Amino acid sequence: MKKNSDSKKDNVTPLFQMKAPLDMPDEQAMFYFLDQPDDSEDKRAFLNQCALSELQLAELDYANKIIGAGKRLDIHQPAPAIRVSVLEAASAAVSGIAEKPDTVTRSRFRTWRWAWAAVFAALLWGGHMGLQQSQIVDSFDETDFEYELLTVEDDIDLLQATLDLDSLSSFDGSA
Amino acid sequence: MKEETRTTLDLGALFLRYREEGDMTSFQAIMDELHTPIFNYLLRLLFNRDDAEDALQEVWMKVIRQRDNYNDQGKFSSWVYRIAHNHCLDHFRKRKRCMEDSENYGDEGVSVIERTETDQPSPLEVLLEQEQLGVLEKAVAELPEAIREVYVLRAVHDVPFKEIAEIQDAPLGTVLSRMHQAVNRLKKVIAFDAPPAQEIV
Repeated sequence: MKKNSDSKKDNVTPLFQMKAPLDMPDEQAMFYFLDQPDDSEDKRAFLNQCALSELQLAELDYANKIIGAGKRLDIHQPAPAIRVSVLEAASAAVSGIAEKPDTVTRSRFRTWRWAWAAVFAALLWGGHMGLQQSQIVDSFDETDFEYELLTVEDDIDLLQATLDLDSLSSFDGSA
Repeated sequence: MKEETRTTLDLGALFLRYREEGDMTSFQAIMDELHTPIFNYLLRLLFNRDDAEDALQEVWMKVIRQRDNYNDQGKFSSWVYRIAHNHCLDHFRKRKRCMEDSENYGDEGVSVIERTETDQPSPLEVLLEQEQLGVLEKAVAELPEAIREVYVLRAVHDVPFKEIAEIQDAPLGTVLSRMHQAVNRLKKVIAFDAPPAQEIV
């Protein structure tokens, strides 16, 4: 009886040592999760799945170790002269652009063009204002002239009426 | 990882400032960030220090000459790595390197670099680590070019797989498959009894 229970115990596979679940991503896809942020749901789900499989956890652990080891490999320094020559070339490349004669001329012309445009606009505005003012003065003169004409006409009418009255009275008197 | 992303984003803006305004301090800042990583990437692909230095200079000249081709929507470091990748492909086509070169790698390319670590390991640990890293360096050198490139970019330079796919102009699945092959090949050579000091997860 005791032997039986012992053999049963030996047959029982602990949960941790179970085979990987069917929906477990393959080893190739496992590397993809290394790039995912720690708060990623997919990564968390993957790590939870790994916790169920000793084999998968070992694979993940080993992949981490191999990748982590890469960071401890030696770092070599290039010759300092390379940096100097590259910086010189980089400086020459951009200073060549800045010293292009057409760019400089174009920029000066642009400045002058705006200045001339401003002067021209001011002259135009002044001329326009002057013309408008003279038109107003002219219209005033016309009104005055018409007013005078009407006054003269009125005077003539009045004079004419006076003359008519006079001639009528003389006619009545002679009669 | 996060720092790498931040600097990469800044590098694009710095390069635009250099390109548009001719600001040399921006270009110097770019070189501070990328000069050494690009050199180490080239060294691990070309195996020879002289070739790597020539290639480094040529890569920077291409960056300067092709500055108008840079699209500010893409990551600047990926763009530079892509130029370096293309340069290596040209180099491989011209020289037709064979595995003999990788055997010389240990002699001419590797030198001991001073490390600045906060906790000082014991001399035995240092010796073991140096030995282990020496084995790893040689094993990496023996990987096929495309697989080695993926390992070097991801493990040494912390470039995400998505960007490696852009650099190699390959689908993401292919890049992941190459990484899988790299780890499987390195697994046969290196046995990590003790866990390494730095771990990603």
